[in-house]
Amino acid sequence: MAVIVQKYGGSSVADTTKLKVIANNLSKRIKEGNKLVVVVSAMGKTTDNLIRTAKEITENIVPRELDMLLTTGEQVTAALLSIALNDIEIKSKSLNAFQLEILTTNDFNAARIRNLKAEKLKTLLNNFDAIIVTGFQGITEEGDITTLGRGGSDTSAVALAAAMDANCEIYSDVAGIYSADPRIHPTAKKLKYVAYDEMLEMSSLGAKVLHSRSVEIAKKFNIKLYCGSTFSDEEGSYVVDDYLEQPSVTGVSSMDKQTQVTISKLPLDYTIVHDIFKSVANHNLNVDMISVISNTTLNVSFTIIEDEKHHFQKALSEVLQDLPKLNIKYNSGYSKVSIVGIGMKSSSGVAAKYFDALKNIPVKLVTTSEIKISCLVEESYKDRAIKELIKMFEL
Amino acid sequence: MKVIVQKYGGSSVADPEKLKKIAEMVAAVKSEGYGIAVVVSAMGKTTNSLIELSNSVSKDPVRREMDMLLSAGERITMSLLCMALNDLGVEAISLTGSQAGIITNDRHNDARVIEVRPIRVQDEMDKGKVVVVGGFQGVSYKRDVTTLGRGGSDTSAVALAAALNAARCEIYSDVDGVYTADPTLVKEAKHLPEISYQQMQEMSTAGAKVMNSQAIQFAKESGIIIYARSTFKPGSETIIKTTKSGQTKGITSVVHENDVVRVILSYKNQAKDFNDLIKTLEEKQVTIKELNVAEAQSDEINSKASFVVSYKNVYGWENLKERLQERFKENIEFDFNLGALSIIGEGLNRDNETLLTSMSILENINVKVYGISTTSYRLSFLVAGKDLLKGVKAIHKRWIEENV
Repeated sequence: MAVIVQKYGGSSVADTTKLKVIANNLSKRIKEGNKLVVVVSAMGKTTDNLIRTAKEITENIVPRELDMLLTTGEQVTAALLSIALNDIEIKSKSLNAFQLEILTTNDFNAARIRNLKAEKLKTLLNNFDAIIVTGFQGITEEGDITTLGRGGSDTSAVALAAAMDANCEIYSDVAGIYSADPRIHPTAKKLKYVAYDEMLEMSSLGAKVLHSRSVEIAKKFNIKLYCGSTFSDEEGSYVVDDYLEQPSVTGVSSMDKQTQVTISKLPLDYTIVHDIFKSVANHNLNVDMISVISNTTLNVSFTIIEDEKHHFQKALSEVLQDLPKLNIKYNSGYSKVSIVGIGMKSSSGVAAKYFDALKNIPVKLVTTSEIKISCLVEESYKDRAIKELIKMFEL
Repeated sequence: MKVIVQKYGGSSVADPEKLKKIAEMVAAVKSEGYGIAVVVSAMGKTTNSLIELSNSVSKDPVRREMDMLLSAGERITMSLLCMALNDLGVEAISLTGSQAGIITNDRHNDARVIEVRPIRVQDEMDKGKVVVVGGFQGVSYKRDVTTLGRGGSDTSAVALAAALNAARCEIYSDVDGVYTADPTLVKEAKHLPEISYQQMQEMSTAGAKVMNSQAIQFAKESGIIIYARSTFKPGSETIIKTTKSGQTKGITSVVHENDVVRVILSYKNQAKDFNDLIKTLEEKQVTIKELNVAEAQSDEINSKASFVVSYKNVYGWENLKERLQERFKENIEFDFNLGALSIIGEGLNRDNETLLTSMSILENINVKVYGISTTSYRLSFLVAGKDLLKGVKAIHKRWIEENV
């Protein structure tokens, strides 16, 4: 008996007609001799609608209650899919995080999974062919419901696969992982294999195929991930530890809504740099591309997500209040464009080709790692930059 | 600390604006120093929309999953109400039926509350928080989510009130309590400032939607006094409590129930046919009423059994009906388009006068009676659905309006 963990995203379960199609697909897999654990997201725009209703009541939403509210979405999908399966004589049962005891930290809205017991699932699979699990959610030790943050259903699925030592299949309306966003760049190639490290970079760089934490877990437990299309038989992509043919650059991804923060003419004192980033960390804020330039004074520049600008202003004013004449600039409307490839480690000349491709595009900031190069450009240059990179690296 | 349990029904919590108003009401009571648990139903038509969704994937949806599905409705309301309360500076926490310790048997869709262990409710209340509990739902000993059937939020509220040893239980809806007939249909209906548990229970069983009958049973057992009020029109109320016997006399109300079907089975072999039918209905958790069995003494004639079912409350009724028709062929009949009209009072079968008079009233207005059943608190008539309202009005006129 092979156990497979599957996950269906919001657009795949958007209406009951789609749920019935999924039920039939599951039935085929079960008849081939598999037992299925199926993780589902909320239907279509349910989560957004619930958030909108909450905002009609207050702008200041209590995180615990938001999680209580949002987790109803997945419960509706799970129950309906189980009803659809039972209707075609497949023995199935839906379980929420409470019943499955998916223990998380008590960081409401962005909890992390601490522990989940596979025993209950294993026992249930003796009597049922499919267990439908509500994605995106967990419970605290006190028994309060938490959510894992946007895209958290991927994490639920991979965590379950790790606990069950099973393969994990992630289904969405995209047929796999592409070298660039296929909706904007239709010539993008579908990748048969992507390495965990590449996928991690791509997820955190803005490719929305997989939640990056789910890839971290997959990497940690060496879970083979498959990303495919819900409603077509087209073969998808595999996310694996390593694969043989590694081009130097595998894909290009981008992330919008970047703001560049520049603090110039700081006194030449590195403890200030430390204080700045300590304050930012204390406020639980993330900075991305960082550059520190020193000559007679210090210039510190880094990128943040536009939506968090307000929080940064607060954090920086706390630490820099003794230096009132300081010039802090916030430039918004940037995109980060990145190329990723584990082959980069063993090839030379990638940077040269990269800057050759971008020679006519004003680049504001650049950062690199062993397997990626990122640059910050104005949003209006984004598509052009991606196109040039696709051409240069034959993506 | 004195504890009050409040319950708000679906129309009272239908939209965010109403929830904000309720939050203000709760905050006002809280500021008087009470501990408060608020039980809420699903918002407006949420439950119906969820049922429609389930019908579009299955004609006969599995019951366990229906409970999983429907219980989402109350969770939406309770979290939103907590947000509204917190917005007013009142600390509040929402708890599901399961978190509130409402433990039921595993009869899905129509579960019975076995025990309430409100440990968490009590803890949070002691911390000074308003506790908002999802009505209508509980958890079985198998840890499955269960629901308590139609009007089950009333049961949640009263059961919780009993377990918390509450000073009272306030049930808020769009009506300011109990009337001598459904006030939306009979405009002459009179408001009842007070009614006994016993009579209220009879009314609920006979189809009055104002209060769930298991809820009244709990209140009766634990002596919790229920105040039935209107959410947005304060002023009048009905108090449901023990009244001294002999205090209420004669007829208190006329209750009706739409959409009932009478099932008639004709059979030769009781063990094979009749028992089988009842077993099938029990498996599907269909509540039957007014069961009547006429067992034949000779093999020459068929035995007959009949009973009525409020089929609108049965998920997958059409499917079940088809199965029964296949199984029993021409020996089973379904008498649709019926309604039940009940007279509620005390000592109704002491003599036959009420019965005879009522029958002649119905006869005079050409309402044919298809079945009668009586208890000492209730006289019920089965009539054609189209005649139901006409009958209720005539009976109400004679026994309530003219009977001063």
